[in-house]
Amino acid sequence: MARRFRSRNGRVVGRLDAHEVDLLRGLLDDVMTVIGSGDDNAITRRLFPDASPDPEVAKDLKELLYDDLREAKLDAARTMRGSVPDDGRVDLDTDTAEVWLSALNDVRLTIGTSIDVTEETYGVEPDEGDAMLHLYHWLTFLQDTLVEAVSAHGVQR
Amino acid sequence: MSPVAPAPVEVDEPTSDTFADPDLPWVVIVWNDPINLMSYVTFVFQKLFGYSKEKATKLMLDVHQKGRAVVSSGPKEAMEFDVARLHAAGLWATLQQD
Repeated sequence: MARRFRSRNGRVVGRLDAHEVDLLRGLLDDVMTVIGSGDDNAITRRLFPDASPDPEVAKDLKELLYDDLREAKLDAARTMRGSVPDDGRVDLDTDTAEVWLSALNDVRLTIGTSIDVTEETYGVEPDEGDAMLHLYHWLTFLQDTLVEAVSAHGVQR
Repeated sequence: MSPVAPAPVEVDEPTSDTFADPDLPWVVIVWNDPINLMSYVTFVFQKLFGYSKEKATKLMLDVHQKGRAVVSSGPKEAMEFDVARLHAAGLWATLQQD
């Protein structure tokens, strides 16, 4: 099981098991596929939500913003994918750790939407066979400790 | 937002302004959702807008407890930029005329 991410000497460090390295890379590949697909489904609508309650305005804004947003999300996922170390010894500068936050959150949005997460989900202990809920809790653990490590010495704009 | 054993929040669906005055500034609203963590939302408000930890935390709690909060206001183009950055961070944000 991964250890908490921590702040150390101005860097963010952590430790992933070998299977967690493979799992994270696979998830990031999956998310990049979803982002690049151009599909319209619950997951892509969560990754690229309407920017206005007015459908006409939302459509115009999507045309204006979508291409850059898709590229930003792909860049973040690609950067994280490329900085997950083979040996699982995570050691990131703050900028890269912040990219991890965005990319990891997109993974959580993808998995969380697919299993229909609600506010009650967080108190639920998964059954032995509930791999997706285990996965989601693990991603939440990573995200939670990563935010804490990145924010440890204040957040600069 | 989660975790923190919250009560479900009744959220009014976004509604558009029927009588929009073009001189009024635009606002960016962030909506509650069950996936983004409270700590992460606070971080995003600090990072994107330069808000203090206290202000960012208050806005996050407004989103969490009231279902939404206005996080930014100004000219339309600036607000489009803010919405795009919030979406890049994975938050659910909309813009509308105040």
